[in-house]
Amino acid sequence: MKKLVKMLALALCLGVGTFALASCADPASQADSNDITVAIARPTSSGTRGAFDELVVNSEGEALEEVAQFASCVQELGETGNVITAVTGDKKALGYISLGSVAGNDGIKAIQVNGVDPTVANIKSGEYELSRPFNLVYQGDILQTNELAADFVKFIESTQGQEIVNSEWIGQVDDAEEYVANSYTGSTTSLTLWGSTSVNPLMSQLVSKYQELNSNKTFNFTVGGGGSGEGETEAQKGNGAIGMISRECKVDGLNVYKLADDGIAIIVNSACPLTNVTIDQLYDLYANGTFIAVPGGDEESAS
Amino acid sequence: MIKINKTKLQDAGAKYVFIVCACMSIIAVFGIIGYILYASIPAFRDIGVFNFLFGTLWNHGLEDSDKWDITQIYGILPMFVNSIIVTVMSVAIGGTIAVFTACFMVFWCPDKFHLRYAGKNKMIAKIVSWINQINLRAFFDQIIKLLAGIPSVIYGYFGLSVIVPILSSLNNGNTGLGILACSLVLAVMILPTVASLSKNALESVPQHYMEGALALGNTKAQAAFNVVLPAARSGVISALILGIGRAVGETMAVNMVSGGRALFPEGLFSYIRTLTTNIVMEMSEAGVGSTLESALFATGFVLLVLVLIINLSINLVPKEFKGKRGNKVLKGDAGAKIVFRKKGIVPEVLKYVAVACGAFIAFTLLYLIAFVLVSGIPHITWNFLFGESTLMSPTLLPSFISTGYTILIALAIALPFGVGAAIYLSEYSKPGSKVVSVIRTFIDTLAGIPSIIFGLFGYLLFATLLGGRCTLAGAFTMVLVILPTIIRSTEESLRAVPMSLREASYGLGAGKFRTIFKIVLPNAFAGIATATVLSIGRIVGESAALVYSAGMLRTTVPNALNPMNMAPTLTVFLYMCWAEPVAANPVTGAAEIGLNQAYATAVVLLVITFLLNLIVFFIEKSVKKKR
Repeated sequence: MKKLVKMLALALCLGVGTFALASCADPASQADSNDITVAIARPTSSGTRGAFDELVVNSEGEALEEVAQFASCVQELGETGNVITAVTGDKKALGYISLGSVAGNDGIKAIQVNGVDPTVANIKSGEYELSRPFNLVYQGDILQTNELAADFVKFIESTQGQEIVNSEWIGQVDDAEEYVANSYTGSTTSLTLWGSTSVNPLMSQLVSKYQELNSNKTFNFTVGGGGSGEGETEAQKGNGAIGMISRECKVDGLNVYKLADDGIAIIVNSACPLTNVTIDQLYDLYANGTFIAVPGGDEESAS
Repeated sequence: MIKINKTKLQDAGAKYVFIVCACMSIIAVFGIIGYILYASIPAFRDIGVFNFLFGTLWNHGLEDSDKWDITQIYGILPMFVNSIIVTVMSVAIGGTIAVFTACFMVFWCPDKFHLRYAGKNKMIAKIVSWINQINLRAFFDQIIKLLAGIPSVIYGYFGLSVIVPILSSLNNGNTGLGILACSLVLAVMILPTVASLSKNALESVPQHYMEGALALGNTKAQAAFNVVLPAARSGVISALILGIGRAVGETMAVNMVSGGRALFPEGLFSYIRTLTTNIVMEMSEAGVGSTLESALFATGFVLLVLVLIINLSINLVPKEFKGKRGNKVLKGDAGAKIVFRKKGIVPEVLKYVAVACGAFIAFTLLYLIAFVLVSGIPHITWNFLFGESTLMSPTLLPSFISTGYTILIALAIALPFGVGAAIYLSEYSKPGSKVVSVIRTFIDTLAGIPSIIFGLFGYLLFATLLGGRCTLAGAFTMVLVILPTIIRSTEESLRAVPMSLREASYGLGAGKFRTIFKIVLPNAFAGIATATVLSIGRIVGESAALVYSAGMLRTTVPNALNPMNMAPTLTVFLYMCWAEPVAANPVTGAAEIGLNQAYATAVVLLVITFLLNLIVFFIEKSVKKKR
């Protein structure tokens, strides 16, 4: 019986010891510097991660996608929103999200990449290097035969639709015509648009506007999903759903409708003085754990 | 003649119906194991069991690369190791505190406050006398129950908002996420399970152990720690094992503070990914039929096997109460030992540790509640609770609807089955027979399966059958989750009905079937009501099982009204506030969904949890009065 008491005491000591250890300073840590020491990535299956890893190529021509295991300073967070929350709460963190998801979040800011601002104009001109497509995927010709889907696409390609698309993304239609309010006369009222969390903000806005324009009808739009993979899955099921993916389609047998081009914004905490990163810095941060020195803080950087 | 035959037929038929009910949990366990194994076979085949279990790299992105083979890029060893480390650390911390708390509650918790007030202010005197009337033991019991009832996602937010910043400041302002944060959150989460079960074990030690030890000159602390606690060790060990099972299977709260890397940990602040969080993080991105999806199911299968081993190992702990090591003072050179014991300082110190642990638990709960209330109440608005819900500005109204649906549908199915199984176990089965012990093992097994596994099963079976995730699929999944609770609680109350009532009924000529329905069940009503309330609590607090079966998305009221559509329950909505936050944007009309809304939702959930606990408390009180 004494043994048990001893064991319990030992366990308690262990617990206390853990706390004590925790309070010990990590020798590699930098107390008061502003340096970026935390990089935030998405899971390897994410569409945004796939596009980012493909686009971040260092000066020696090595892409991030060829790096099997990122440095240990990299976090992986499940969804776009997690990245925003994490960067909002950590002055030393850097992450990447869809450009369209940046707006309205006071705690974060999108910074320049290679000296170029992440704006719609710069993405269109190709100066901003980090961009990828937003695609809708579907089976057969749902987008033409489903009355609601067809009319919704007509709306996306109209001036009102393109106005939303072009607010933070790059629309694919040059000569848009106006969408006539209450012009939908079909009997179908429900449509599922499912998949990428990056496409979700754009799609939610489009659907809201569409419902507003067709206010004489009650629609049942389902917009959601946790990732591009889910979008392809849902479209494959053949129950009339349309998948939203934030990369090229990887599944055979699905048709693709290109909705927009999207920039991948590099975000940091709005209190962080960093304004520009180079692609090389990004590569080194994610692949090798080389912290990004931030002017205003200590210049030293550790690896 | 005809009448007798009818009764006999009824009795015989009823028996088989009850057996079928009792076998539900066996079917469920085998169904879950079978389905998840079936879904993971492609992964085991393509990747190879050895490569999968002992591979150290997990990178789906390399699947298209020429340099890497599929057998090299799906290895779960780091996550397996992380799961084990986090579990051990959380049980070392949380288990210790919980066992000491149990000791405090049994041995040192005063019955009442003994405050004195000499002044003349009548109000204060009244308040003091009111405080003095509080039954402290019952109060502590309620604290533990409330801690157990709080949805795990709230612990995740607590970890994110309170524990991680503290750890971050300890880590020189660097990140606080990682292995230590996960362990601490889990430690708080397993506290109530381990504490309440250890308390039961301590209370079941016969009174004469304590009395004997005291009579031989031990102090109370020495008697408690040297005699009673060792005597209760099998119960305490079982409690710790259950805590381990809970810690291994916990998903959402861990996911929120883990950092998500499938790496071997290098320090206390290493980002980690456990088996459970691996599933949550990648599942939504995995295409149907892809190797990734199958590998995730295989991860779930490994987790399931791990949990089954842990939970079945409880059966290895000797159940019988063995008192032969009871009090060493009786043996050998008694005199010297008594003197030694009297001087022994360790138990005296441990007494203060126990009191400190009790205070710590009370403080933790009160702080957690206060924190949630302070953060959440300012953001509760009528519009957020019951306003019109749209894609751009979702409110809680659809969640109320889907939570209600889930509760109603799940209870409508689980209650008859659960009560039927309980009737079989307590009324028909022979006590101690093999069949009963097998059924009981399966009920315990079902109770120990992590909710993420239920989620995967619901996704594989119900969501597929119903043509996609929906509230109905979620409700079906929850049936399996709450079944063990209902069976256990009902069976307990059935057994508490005095035998003489049944005998009197038989004596008056009633058949078995009639006796059960007219005499036994009405007398066990309180137990069934408790089971129902506990099940509602479980459903309200569930997240991992529902995300994959009922779905997680913003929805409108008309959509939520149809149970064939996806709709988040309250807890899933709470999780969504972290997973898919949106900033307020006047241009697009988007309403803010983030931490503030999360805490507002958490307040609603706390209120519901509190009310449910209150109902259980009053039911139990009324039962005690009757006896």
